[in-house]
Amino acid sequence: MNDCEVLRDRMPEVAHGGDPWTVAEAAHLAACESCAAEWPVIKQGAMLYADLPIAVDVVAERVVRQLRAAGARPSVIGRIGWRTAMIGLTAVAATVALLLRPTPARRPIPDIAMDTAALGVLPELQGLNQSELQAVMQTLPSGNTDTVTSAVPHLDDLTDTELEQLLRSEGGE
Amino acid sequence: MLAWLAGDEGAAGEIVRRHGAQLGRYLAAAGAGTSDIDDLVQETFFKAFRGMSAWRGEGSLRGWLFRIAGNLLKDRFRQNKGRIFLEIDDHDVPDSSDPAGELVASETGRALKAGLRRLPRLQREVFLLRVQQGLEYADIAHAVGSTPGAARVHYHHAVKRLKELLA
Repeated sequence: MNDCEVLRDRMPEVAHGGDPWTVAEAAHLAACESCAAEWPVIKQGAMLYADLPIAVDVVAERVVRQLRAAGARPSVIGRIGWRTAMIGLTAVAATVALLLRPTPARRPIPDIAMDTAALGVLPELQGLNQSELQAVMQTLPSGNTDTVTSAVPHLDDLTDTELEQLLRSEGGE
Repeated sequence: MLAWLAGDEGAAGEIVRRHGAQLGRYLAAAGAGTSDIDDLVQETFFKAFRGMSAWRGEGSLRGWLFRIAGNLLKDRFRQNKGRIFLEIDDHDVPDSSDPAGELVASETGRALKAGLRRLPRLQREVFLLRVQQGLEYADIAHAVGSTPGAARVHYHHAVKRLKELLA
C-alpha cells in the first residue's frame, strides 16, 4: 500500500477518535490534494445523524414486551423444550458413565524373547525376530516344550537315596 | 446476548440500549424516514432475538444487527416503491464555538446527505457501515452479505463518487 492508501484506510479510525494522525501522516494529508479532499467526507460521514434523538429506553421496553407476547423464551431449554433437553441430558449422562466405567485389566501379550530370557533357556533365540522364531519352532518335534522343561529334573524322578542326599545338601548337613 | 440466552429477560433491554442509537443513526442515514426509525429499530431487535439460532456467533453481533436492519430497510423501500428519505436537518452538526467551521461542516453534511441519495444502495450501506459505524470490512461483508474484498471495492467507489459530488 502506498502512503495515500495507508492514510485513507486510517481515516475512519481517526474520525472515530482512534489514534490521531502521526506527524508523517499529517504532513502527507497537508501535501496530498486527493487525500485532503477525502478527509472532510470521512470526517463528516462519521458524524452523520450523531444527534438523532432515539428513544432507546422506550424501544427497549417495547422489544421486551413484544418478545414476551410472542412467547420468545430466552433460555436455551425454553427454546428447545423440556423433553428434548431431558433426552439430551440422559444421553450425556450415559456417555459419561460409559467413559468412566473401569476397564478390565488386559492380559499382557506374551513376549517370546522376554520369556526365553527369563527361563535362561536358549538365550541365542533372543536375537531372532518373530518369523525366525516361528521357523525354529517348526523344526522342533511336537511336544518340544516338554523336552525343554524336562531338562530340569523333577523330585519324583529321584530315588530315595538321591532325595536324602539332596535334603542333606540343602539343609547344610 | 449470552445473558439473554441464559434466561435473563432484562438482558434483551440492555442490548437494545447499547446498540439502538447506532442502529437508528444508520437507518436514518441509509434512507429511512425519521418517523419510521423507532419502529425499524424495534423490529430489528425483535427479529434478532427471535432468530438468535441463525446467528451462530458468526461475525460480530453488530454486523448481524446491521444485516437485519438493512434487510428491513430494503423491504420498506419496496413498500415505498423505492423512495428513500434523507432529510436535510441539523442532526449531524456538532456544537462548535467556531461559527465559520460549523457552517462549513453543516454545508458538507448537507452535501454528503444529498450525495448519499445518489449512490447505489450497496455503496451507500458499505460507506455508512465503514465511516459512520466504524466497522471493519469483515463485519461489513457479513452485514451486506458480501466478501471483505468486495466491500472494500464498494467503499472506494462510494468515496470516489462522494468526493466528486462534493467537489
